[in-house]
Amino acid sequence: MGKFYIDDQEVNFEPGQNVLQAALKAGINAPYFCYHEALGSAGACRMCTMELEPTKEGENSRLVVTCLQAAQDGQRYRLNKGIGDHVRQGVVEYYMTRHPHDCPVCDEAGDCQLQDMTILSHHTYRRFKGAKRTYMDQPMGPLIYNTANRCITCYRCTRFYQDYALGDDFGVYASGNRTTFRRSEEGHFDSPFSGNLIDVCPTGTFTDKVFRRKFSRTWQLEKNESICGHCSVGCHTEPGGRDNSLRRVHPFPNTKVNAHFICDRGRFGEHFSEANDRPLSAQINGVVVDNQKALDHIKDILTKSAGRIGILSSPDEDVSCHYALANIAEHFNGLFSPFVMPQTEDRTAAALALSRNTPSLTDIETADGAIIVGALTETAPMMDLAVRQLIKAGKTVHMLHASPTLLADIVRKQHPDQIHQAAPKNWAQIISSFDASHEAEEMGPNLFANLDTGKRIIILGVAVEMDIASMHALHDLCQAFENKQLTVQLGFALNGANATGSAMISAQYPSKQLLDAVRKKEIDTLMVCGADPFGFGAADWLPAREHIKQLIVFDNVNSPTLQIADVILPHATWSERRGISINYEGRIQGFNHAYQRAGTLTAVNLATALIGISANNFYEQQHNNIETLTGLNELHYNGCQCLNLHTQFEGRAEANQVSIDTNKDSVQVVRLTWHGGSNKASYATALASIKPWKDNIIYLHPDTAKRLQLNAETKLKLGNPTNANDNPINRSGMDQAFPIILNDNVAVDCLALTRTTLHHVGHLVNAIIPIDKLSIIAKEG
Amino acid sequence: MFTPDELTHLKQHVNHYPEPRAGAIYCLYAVQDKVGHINDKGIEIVTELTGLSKTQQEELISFYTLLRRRPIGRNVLRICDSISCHVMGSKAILDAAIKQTGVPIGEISKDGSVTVLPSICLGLCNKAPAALLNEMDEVENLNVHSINEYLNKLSEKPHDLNNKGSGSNIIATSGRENNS
Repeated sequence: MGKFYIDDQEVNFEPGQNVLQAALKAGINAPYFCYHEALGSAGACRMCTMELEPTKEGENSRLVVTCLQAAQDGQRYRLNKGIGDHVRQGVVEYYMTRHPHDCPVCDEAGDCQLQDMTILSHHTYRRFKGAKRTYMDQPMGPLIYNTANRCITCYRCTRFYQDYALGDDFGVYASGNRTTFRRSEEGHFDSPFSGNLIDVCPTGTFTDKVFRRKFSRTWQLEKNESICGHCSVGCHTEPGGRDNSLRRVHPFPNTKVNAHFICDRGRFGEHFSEANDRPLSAQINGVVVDNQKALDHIKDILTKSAGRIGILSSPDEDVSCHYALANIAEHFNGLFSPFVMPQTEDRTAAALALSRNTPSLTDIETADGAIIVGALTETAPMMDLAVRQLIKAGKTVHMLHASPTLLADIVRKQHPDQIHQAAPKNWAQIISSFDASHEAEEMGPNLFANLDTGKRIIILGVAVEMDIASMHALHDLCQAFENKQLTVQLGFALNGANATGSAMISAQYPSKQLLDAVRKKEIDTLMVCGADPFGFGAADWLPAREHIKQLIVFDNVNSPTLQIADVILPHATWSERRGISINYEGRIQGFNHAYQRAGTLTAVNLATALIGISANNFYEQQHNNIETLTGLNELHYNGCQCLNLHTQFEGRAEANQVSIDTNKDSVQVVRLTWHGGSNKASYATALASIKPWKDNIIYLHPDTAKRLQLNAETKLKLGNPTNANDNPINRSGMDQAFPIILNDNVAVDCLALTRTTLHHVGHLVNAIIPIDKLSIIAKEG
Repeated sequence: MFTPDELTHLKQHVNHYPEPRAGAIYCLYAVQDKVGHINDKGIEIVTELTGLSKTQQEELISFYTLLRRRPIGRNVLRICDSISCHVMGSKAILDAAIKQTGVPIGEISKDGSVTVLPSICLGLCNKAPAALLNEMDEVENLNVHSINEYLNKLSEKPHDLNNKGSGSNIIATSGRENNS
């Protein structure tokens, strides 16, 4: 800790900080381009030049690039007073000789660092009369728009893309005045974090192509801090909307969660709210009516069938939504569940109960080693970005996975021996073998044996892919490492943004109770909010469809369930409403609407209309409920408080221990997903257009194909799926034979299927199919 | 593309660096010596050897002027356009070369004899405007007349299949002696 001076203003600094960093922290309006808090200094732009005053007599003052100058006690800099200002003016004038001066038609204008810095450095008149260097713009897919001429070569984009996010399909070409930043081929980026190029670029070289199609000047957008509703990390975002529509999503940096960036799912997936087929008006039996009429109709239905009502929400909806719906269910003497599938509920609760000292994203970035189990990139992309910082720092990252995942590709490239591919049914056994104190056989035993005591390792699991036995194995592994004096943090990426909040509430409203009641025909009126029980990945519900006489769907996507609904109500998205979400760490985060969408309703509106509770009373009651449930006094919603997951979910890891099927003559179905493939983001048109997997295809390892005697000339039929109670399920894809595609990144003895394919065949994720049930069919022709 | 011996040699070379990517330029040179330029197949091989993606190799190739991604003629003539040659009239020399070959800078002349490229300072400022043929032979004190003559001479020279043309040919000479 020391202090230096800029234009006689005192600036405090921490050891290791550079002058620019300390000055920005102190709130000084210092100019810069290439410096970035997360990416560090490059010294490429010379924009942060200041004049350093001489310390001794006889010395001259000198110009210093402050982002490369370590802060030292007592130094005195001149920012606006000395010749630094003149130098910076020259630097900007030089950049502007290559810049096209196209601010009136540039999407960045108003949000542009180049504009700000040009004004700040007093460059006003253009003197350059020569020819400007020009480039062809490169088509970069449906998400990002490239205008290469605007570039000022600050290198922030490649520093982010290659050095920070470890991507390798975008880079810097040529040198000197010909330098340009592009991909080797036209087309979309491979990285799940490419959208951050839009933010790190200080000019309009990379702009948001989705925003471009419904552009609005930045100062005309309604913005507010919100929480991303697309995975359990719960990043802070800033959606901007105007005239009843979402225009763009920016990160809202928050040091507790996402310090700088967001993933493409959060940025482009939120545009599901703009899908052409989004339900935006109430309908009764296919006829559009106004919301009040639909609400009266629903009140009528619920009053008439009181006692036979079920309300189903999903972990993609927030706590306020759950509470409002639970209130409605109780009022009409019905049942409520925040989970569709008991299996998902059990896994989520078990994962939370078994978490130990759950790591935040910063904890992950700064750890000394990590074990990742499952397709992390495809479940919680921002956790993956944090793990990439570990890989970049040369820390050991071991990975166990069954379906293709981008993180495994990165680990494999550097350390193929740290990749373990296996079917999920064998995971529990493999995880136990990671520790030398167990009797290890096949796998590389004794991971992290070279780490000194006191070092910290992170274990991350993907709850939806793991059975409870393998979660326990991870928990036991923590103990084993702790016995070796290592600090261990265990966390799980959950399915659904508010999975933790839903699991908390489901203690009172278990999903099994609701599902059983439907099966026993005790419930014939079902209200569904945000869930898709008769659509993707909910095989248990499919046979129950015939027991439902009245189906009310309250949603913001055109899901298969919504398409068969009797009554439809338009639901506001997270960006359009107020709510509370609890992330995988147990962090309680409130959010408020960023913009207004006329015609949509929230669950609280429903509660007001149907059971007459006022919004104020509801929020007060909810606050008390959460306080009682969590045991937290003085509850805040700013993300500073975390639940104690261990006490909150104690005893919920024991439920339904799945026995492990080690039958060698079987194959296991694994989910094939990608970073834009979450429940809601799948409806975002632009993002969904770059989905890497094909539907109605079975992806498998060449060895599996050899074992099953499959080749390009044959197709595979999966046969009858059965649900938990061994009831046969009738699905359209049951008798359908699917062509195969070989993929080295699918584990042996696994069949990887997209969620649409799973929906067609009716199998559950991780279902085990005996080989004799499979049939091989020759392709026609 | 490479014989097993050559591949082993390249692997050894890459392995003697702590970071495999450090061996990329050597491998790219090897491809260039073999093919005359760096083609897609060569890039695939270098990816296998060093782990660098196509983009990362293109970054290198576009940065270093002696690595080339496109085919060249039987000869490559680099005409200096840095400051000394510029004041001595190198722009006129380049224009004359374009006229004489009938194709823009960087493309193969119609008879396949030469590719003309501009170059940064060759260190021949005392003999400006200067050029370098096939990275070896100095061409000095050029003027519009002499460049035409020189290019004519190149196109009359018969095509020698044994002469690999430009390039330092590192595998055949220094590379193998120093590293194996």
